[in-house]
Amino acid sequence: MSHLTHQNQTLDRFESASHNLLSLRTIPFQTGRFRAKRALLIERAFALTPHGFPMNVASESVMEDALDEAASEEMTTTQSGNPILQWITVAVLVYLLICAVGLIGSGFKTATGDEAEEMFAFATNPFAGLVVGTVATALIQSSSTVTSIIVGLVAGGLPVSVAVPMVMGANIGTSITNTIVSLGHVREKKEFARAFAAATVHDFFNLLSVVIFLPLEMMFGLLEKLGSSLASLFVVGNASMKGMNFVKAATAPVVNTAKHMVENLSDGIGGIILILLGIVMIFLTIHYVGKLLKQLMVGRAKSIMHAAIGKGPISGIASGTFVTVLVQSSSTTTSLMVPLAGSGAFGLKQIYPFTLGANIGTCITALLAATAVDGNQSAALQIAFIHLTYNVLGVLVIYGIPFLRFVPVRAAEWLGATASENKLIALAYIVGVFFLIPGLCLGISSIL
Amino acid sequence: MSGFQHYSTQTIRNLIEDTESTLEQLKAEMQRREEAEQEIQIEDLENHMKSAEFSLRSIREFLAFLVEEYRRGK
Repeated sequence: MSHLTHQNQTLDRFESASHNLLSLRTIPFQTGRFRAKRALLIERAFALTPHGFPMNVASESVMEDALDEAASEEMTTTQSGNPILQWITVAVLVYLLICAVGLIGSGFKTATGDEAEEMFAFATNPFAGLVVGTVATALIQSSSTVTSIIVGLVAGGLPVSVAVPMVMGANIGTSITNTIVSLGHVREKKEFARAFAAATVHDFFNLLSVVIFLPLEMMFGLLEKLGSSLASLFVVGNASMKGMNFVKAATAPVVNTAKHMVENLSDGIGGIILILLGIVMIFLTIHYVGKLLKQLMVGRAKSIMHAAIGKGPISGIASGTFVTVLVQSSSTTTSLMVPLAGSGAFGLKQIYPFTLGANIGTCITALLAATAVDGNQSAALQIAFIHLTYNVLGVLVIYGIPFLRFVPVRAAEWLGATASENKLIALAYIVGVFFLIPGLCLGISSIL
Repeated sequence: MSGFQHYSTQTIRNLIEDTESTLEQLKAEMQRREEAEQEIQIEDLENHMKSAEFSLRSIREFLAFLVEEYRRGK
């Protein structure tokens, strides 16, 4: 009892110390966040104090330092950058992203004329398309960039059937980022096993998803049909989009100016310049939007993740989706799971739903891009909806069927444990899955 | 297991109830601690975001570690 009384007294002293810290600051705090942090620090101090032993003076001093650090962090956050300016920059970058997709569509249409299908004849083999999507995303490190480029190409005439395996490949390719991030934990064996498993659970889920849906797509055109039905809800006739024409109208000045600038060149060169300009713009806009949103939305992401703790897998999937929509990058969400799992605070089964949500949340970029493309808007929307349907169905089927649910988890746990014993396996896995096997498949499919 | 055969049925029933109740409390305490640790990790999200960024340094460090391990093994 006496130890409890002492703990209460210590807690009171900390409350008072933190109150003093708060009142000493002249800059207004985001008090909710600061209080949460303070409460957690107090919680941590008690967690570190063995039962039966009251917190000693040294611990109290450490706590005061930590509170001070939290307060100065809060000040830094409050002072860093102007959020309004940052939000305006995000809006401008999103506008440029949509313009860039429009440029790719126009450029591709101009460059290929009616021969887009022949140009991508090498990718009519679905395995080749899958490999193109995987390798391109693994190299660019962004599935949003690749899917946005695919949306632009589809608008410019690339057949949807050729683009579907590419979108599936983009899902596989994007998981290289968190796998590489997990390599940073290599010095601690157990931590590395957990981190590598947390990274590769995404790979295994995406590979399993392809194993299930690619044959269904090849046999029945399942995703194409679903995507077409969803796109038809938003498209009237051939080109107009119900209630969304304003986006196209808003981007027209930029797209038309760029087209005007290359109209003196031959169709082929002009088109290629537009495509390259579009690709560079997409790459840069997604990169900088991601950076800005990470800064702007970290607080919101925290709230979402706090809210999901202890609430089960559905809440985890929803959180993963929302966090990815907020930061506009599935790689960010899945990479974030790596240190969380590596620390041991989150188990692989707890991380897994967040990862699935990331797959769904990332579809927003391609959908956004498809709203304003020039050319075949119906097909562009179709491929964007195929991306969404594929990821939602993947979660419903794999997570929904109990016997499939933990296949990726078991595979990742095994790989994590094996790679922690022999680190070369981790290296062989990355090179093999993301480059060597896809390269071999591409070589074989081009020979056949 | 020693001594249980001398207990009355009611005593064993009471013991089972107590054990189950203690187990529930221990599980609840375990979950509370796990969730508190998760809260702490999420509260540190800014730092995790920094360490979760793709960098060639991770690959370099990993390769250096592999070389180091190989030399140690030789």
